[in-house]
Amino acid sequence: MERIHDNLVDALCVWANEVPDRIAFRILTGFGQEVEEISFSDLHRDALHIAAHLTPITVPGDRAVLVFSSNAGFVRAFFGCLYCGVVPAPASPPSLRGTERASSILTSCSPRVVLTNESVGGLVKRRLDDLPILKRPTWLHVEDVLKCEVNPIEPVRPMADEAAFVQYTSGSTSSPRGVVVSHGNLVHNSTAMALGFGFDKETFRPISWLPLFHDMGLVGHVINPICLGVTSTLMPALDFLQKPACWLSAVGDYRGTCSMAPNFSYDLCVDRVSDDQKNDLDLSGWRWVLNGAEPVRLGTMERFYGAFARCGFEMRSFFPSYGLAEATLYVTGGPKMAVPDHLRADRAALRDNRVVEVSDDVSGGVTLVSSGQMRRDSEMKIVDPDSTRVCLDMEVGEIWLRGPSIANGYLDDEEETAITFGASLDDGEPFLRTGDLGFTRDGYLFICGRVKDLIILNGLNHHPRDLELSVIGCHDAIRGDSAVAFSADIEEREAVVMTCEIKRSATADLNREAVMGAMRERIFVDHGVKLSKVVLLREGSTPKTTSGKMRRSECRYLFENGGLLRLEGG
Amino acid sequence: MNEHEAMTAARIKEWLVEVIARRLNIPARDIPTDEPVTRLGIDSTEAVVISGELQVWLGRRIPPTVVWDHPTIDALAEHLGE
Repeated sequence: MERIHDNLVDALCVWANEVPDRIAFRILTGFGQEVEEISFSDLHRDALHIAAHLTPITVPGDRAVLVFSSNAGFVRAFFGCLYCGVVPAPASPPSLRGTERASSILTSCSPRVVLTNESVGGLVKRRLDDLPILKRPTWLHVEDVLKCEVNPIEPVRPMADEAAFVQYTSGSTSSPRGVVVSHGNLVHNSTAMALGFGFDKETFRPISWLPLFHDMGLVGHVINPICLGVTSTLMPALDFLQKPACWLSAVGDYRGTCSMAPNFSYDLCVDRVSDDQKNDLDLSGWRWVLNGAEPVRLGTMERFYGAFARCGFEMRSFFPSYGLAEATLYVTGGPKMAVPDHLRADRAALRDNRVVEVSDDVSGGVTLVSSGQMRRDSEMKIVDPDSTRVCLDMEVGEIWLRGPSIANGYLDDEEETAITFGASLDDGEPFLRTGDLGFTRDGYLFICGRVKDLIILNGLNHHPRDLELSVIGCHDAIRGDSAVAFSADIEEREAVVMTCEIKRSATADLNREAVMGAMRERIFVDHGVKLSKVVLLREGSTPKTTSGKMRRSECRYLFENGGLLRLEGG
Repeated sequence: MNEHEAMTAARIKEWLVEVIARRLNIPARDIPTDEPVTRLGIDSTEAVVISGELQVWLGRRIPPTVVWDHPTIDALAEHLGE
């Protein structure tokens, strides 16, 4: 039996004492050419140092926003915060997604300090200097903090129900939501993942390129390894995107057994790893290759297996799974199978929340991959989101969850917390409404969409309303608030489609390219999202119900079936 | 002089147009080279991926942020060429 700690601080203190020289984090940079090793005792010492520096300028429960371009700086800062009871809130660094996210997080969580590293610190501060909120937090570069003299302290020992960190869900920039995750949530989720995957501290050797401001990177590849006391290998997301082979090389070089990543990363490897590079890869020890955080596609996994079987990769290593920040990270997954469990369902029936299996050669079918099963210490119900009736097997409804991994709520947002975390089925304890649509077959979960039409792209969530509001007024020919954004399958890949109405008065000498270009640019600049398709509609033809509720899914359906009233020639 | 040193801005421009046209699934002749590529529909993840493809093709280190710093095909080719 693995040792279970109550909280992350105890976990790190114990490992620093018992296995001080064991590597906690192996930090790769320069496409894997440079390696920095941080032992458990190094991490403990640096975390204590940072905590000692923060102690005089904070009180426990204060928030710290973490903005890092370096994984080495991030992990030190993260545990430094925990050691003095300060609650870290990771934010994405600029350059990859603009500073929108970082600024909305700064405004939302009113931090006492911002911890960053030299290479991003100045850039973020310069770009965000206009925000009034910035007058309050103290900006600290971790490199400088580690050079300062400090008065030694003892780490604080948090209770299981105390906040460990705030995970901003990668969604609406207009109203960012910070999930407050407790130490108890993290310890439970870490155990659930180990039991669900079937790994232990002897066999869990995680290797990741995920950014650490993302829950899958942070919980899966930073917190899990600390709970178990194992070595985690981390590389920068930019290195992976520029040279995908460096992720797969590291798996062989460091005998990695487990990686978590969204579906698109496997496509990228298939497209971008050359045959020469494949000759040097050894993927035979890669046993838990998690696919989650965006729709899981069987076609992607088959292509990946086809490309990398020669490197020793086995199809049964794929571990499709389901999770979300509101449930700490991991919800369902496994057991592993020779080929991931899947079925082919009729698309039109799914739209009516019915699951009708069809054979492979029938058109209008969609292949769904199972995200596995849930452990018995937590509860999952599929619920009709309108009537709150519990659905039967093979009936589509919203996924509701309860159990020790479910977070307490959103930071400083009682209203949204009550709606999302306080759902009831007349039997007492509340449920989390995930907003995801799914069904079960013999207890195995299948995900088939979002109740709230959320767009999930490259592992990040985008609220369609944010995109729609963005394009208002970006070109004179666009009719007011008429845009509709939704995700659709284009050639087996997740794509964002946007429709908008063109003013009748503007149709005569319309420059279509200019309208579409203006919309693409606005959406990219504001959200870092690429519009795969822009459809221009006649004035008044956007599908609407009286409540306006279904228009996105209606639009998607018409788009996929050719029923939209496009402008002539469009 | 090896082949990498002979990469002129014109050749790089041609290559970028091809790569971006293929990615966007539109004919190369429809790609304006003086517009920001983000306006054509290249997203932030793809911009980093393209910087990686450039790195392989040119055989030298290219910063992942190169597309932010030089947002049009013309500017990028000018910067990367001799």
